[in-house]
Amino acid sequence: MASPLYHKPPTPPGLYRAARAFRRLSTIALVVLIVFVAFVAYSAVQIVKAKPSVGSTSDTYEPNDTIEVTSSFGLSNPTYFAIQDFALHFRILNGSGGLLVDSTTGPDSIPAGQSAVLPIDLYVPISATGASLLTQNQYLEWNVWGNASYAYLFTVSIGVQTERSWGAPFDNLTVTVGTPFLEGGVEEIPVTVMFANDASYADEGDLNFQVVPAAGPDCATGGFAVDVPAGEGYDQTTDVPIASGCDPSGGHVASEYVENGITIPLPSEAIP
Amino acid sequence: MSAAPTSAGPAGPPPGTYSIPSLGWRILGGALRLIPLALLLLGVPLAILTFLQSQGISLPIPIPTVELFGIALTALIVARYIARPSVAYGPLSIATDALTIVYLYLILLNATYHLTVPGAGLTISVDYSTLVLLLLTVPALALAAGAITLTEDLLHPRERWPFDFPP
Repeated sequence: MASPLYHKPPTPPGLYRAARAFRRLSTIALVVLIVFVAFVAYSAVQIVKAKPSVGSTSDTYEPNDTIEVTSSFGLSNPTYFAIQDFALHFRILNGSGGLLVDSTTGPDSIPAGQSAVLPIDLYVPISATGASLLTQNQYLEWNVWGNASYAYLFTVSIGVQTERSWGAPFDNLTVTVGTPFLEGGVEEIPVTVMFANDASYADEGDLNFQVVPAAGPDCATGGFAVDVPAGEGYDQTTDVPIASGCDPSGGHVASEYVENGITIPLPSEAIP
Repeated sequence: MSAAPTSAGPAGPPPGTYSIPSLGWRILGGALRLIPLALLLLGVPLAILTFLQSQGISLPIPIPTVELFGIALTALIVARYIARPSVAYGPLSIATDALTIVYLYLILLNATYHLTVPGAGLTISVDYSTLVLLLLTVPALALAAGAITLTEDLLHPRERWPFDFPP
């Protein structure tokens, strides 16, 4: 039975209720988006606070005329949103602007509340465009940028452009040939090798050379066993037998470095 | 304080079922709304943009655009509040939300923000186009509400008064 004191408020007409429903939906959508964006911004700060880390770097010679630079990038995601399509791009140019490396690591996803370590393997060529890296210290232009999608709404890209010094493993390499002389009835020729190991790793291998005349077969061949720690110089001379009647003048000295079975051709030196 | 109800007409609700504030009160209410609206649509965005500009950081949207749309939206929202009892409420709602959509669309066109840190070689880019697209649903829903209100006002004038202005 209806109360005589209480009158049920009249029901709004359909059009009014429809308009009111749209207005309420609009307000709810706005509030939800504002709260979501605020939460995402707070979460993004937590990722920055977790401090991304770069692992130690190591360099090794590879058979395909490259030096493999290995490192890693660690990123912690202590938030409620996944980091999706996370990728790192590397573009390295030599001192004269030649492209050495154009490489991408990833993409990978880091689920919410987890950490991930992305391995970085860069193959720096030491022939053609990168030939000078063996014998010349120089500055390389590094362009590194990372892309990722976060919280389904934002795509973030962070790029760094910087110059980094490159220390050559055979900086200022010179292979010089002296004047032939007779030693115990055998004609020999002195060959001197000089360089500085400005790389971050030791040169531990064999440096072989061939004295090549302007025409005809090789005059002489020989080699040095080198063990040069990083940051130290090398200056050695060896006397090698020379083929009878061979005149190296006008020719060149071809040399190569062999380490762990990997042969690395070095720039040849002209003989005056 | 309530004004004498405007003529409800034969199709309108019976007197006593609604209480419409007078034009003076509505103007006062609109003027009071100006303060938070101007702060939200003009003051805060302009302060942020001016700070970014003073730091040599590129702006995601030009300052004159923010000024123009901020002033226009503030004026429309206040006018809509004042005109709420009239048939102009629906068109003003539609105009407000349509202008908001245009404003958001302009933001969407440049929804990738590039920040270059001078001297550090560091560039940070944030693409927030998905967020702006989602934000567009807010004025779109409100625009639909305005269109329905306009339809209601045209088909059944003053029908909403008892619900918008209960006694």
